[in-house]
Amino acid sequence: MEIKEITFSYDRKTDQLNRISSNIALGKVTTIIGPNGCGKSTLLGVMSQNYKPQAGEIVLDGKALSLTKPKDLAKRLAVVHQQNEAPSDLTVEKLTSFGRLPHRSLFGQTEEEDEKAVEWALACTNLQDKRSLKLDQLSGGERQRVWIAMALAQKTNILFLDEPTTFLDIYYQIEILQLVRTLNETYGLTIVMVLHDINQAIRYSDTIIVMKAGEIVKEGTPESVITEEIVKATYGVDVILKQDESTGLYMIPVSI
Amino acid sequence: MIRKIASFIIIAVLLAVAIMISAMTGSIKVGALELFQGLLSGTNEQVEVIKDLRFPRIIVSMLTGAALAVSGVLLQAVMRNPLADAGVIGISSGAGLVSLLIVTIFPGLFFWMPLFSFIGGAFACYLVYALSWKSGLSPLRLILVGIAINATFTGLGQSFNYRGSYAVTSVNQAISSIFTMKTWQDVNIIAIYGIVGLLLSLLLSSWCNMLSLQDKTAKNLGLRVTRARLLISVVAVLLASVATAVGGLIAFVGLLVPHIARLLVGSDHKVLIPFSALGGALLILTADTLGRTLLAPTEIPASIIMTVIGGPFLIFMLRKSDRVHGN
Repeated sequence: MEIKEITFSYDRKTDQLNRISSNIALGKVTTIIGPNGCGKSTLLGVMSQNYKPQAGEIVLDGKALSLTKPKDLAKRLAVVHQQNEAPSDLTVEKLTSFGRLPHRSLFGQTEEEDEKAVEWALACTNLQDKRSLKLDQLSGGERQRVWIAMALAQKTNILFLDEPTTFLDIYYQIEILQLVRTLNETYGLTIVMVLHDINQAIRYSDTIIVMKAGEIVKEGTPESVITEEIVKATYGVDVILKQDESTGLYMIPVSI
Repeated sequence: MIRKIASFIIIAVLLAVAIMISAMTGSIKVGALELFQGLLSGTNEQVEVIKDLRFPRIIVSMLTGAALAVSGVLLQAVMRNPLADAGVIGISSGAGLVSLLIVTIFPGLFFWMPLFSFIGGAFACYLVYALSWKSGLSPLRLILVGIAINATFTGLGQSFNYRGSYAVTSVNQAISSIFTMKTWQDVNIIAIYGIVGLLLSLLLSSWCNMLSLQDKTAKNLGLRVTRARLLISVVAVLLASVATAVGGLIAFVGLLVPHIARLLVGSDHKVLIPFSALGGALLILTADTLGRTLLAPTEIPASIIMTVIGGPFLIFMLRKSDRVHGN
């Protein structure tokens, strides 16, 4: 998946994204990090065609995504947003089955394939026992998993997650990240996500893209990207990097 | 699930009972048995009169109620606002004003009234959107703009109606709602446009469901959000306009019925739309039957009864949405 010279601005005065180019490796976990307002969620929004860039294009399998029909796109690329809204009386299973809508015509009936996909999505997210619960009966972590289940039910090869761990306590954060890893390793899904926690990005990503002020500062493997100099330059924070035998590279913030 | 089925059975039974009572009561009274025998044989004179005068009225009030209730459901889905109602935000009064003008200037175009109503309703709907859109639709701003537009159109309609004289003219039916003097021709008009609108809204129910998520989520599920909004709005305006053209200006049906329907059968539009149609039919038929029997021979228009019930209900909803949205 190629990002070609993307320029995007909400108000046409200041560029939120300034001629960004990159290449997202299929079958890998890519994480975009950067300080608040650097444009990382905006980039994800442009890549999922929610925002229309002023210049540049996103190319998947040699075809520009802007030329792909919305329904076809929804069969190839699913997105989990940071904040979501749904009627509170929807059940887990019902919301998950919304993920099958791109595969159905306006009058289409539920078919066996739809049921299978929903079952698989519920199993992946460990929600089988909660399928008939309503959304307002769930905890924050469970609700986030339902939105992931909906995206999984789309049966796409690519999954975008915008800050999937924000607002969750550490248990649910790790639960979501392990789910992401499983989806990538077991089912070969291409994952692109935005994270705030640099240590989580290091542990769960194949590639990290560091952004600042609408531009990509550096991208590559966690070890090559996360250095004391780059963290200082992008976040303005002095850090110490350590190696641990069991967990690998980790970072401790020291001062500003 | 059981609750949904039970709700459907109960409302269907209530509607059947209301139809029976409405057909049997009034200045001519007949028993149920007499009514059925008369309908089958076609020889009972009293029943023939009821067939000519009371049946069109029953059918028109039911279809008016159904159309207004479903129009409310659709507007609420499109505007993501539980307070949207064709009568409250000015769509009905826009429709009423234009059809009033046309019928006065070109009385011969009576049969095309729903079409002109539609133009008026669509214009009002466009105004509400255009004036309340500020990088999104804030629920309260939309309602305030809608109420202002409603007041403007209602005022224009009234000033036009009172030009020079206080005589109650035949065009009065376009702005107040009295279901008397409804004929089978009225039934034809509202049945054609109304039933088409109701069927279309059933087809659009899965789009309505997707719009209850955020726009970006609906978009990522492959929905062309703008196109879906436009189409659903068109059907909503069609339903509200035809109801206004034939049944007159009735507010609050689209507010009351969908709200109660959601409590009973939930927010899935596949169920909500048909249930609201039945609920709207029941509500207006009941209001009209009460209106013509309570103080007979004087009639209280169904629209007045709805305003009396609906006003307090809107206040209740506004206070409730305050708690939900916190602004």
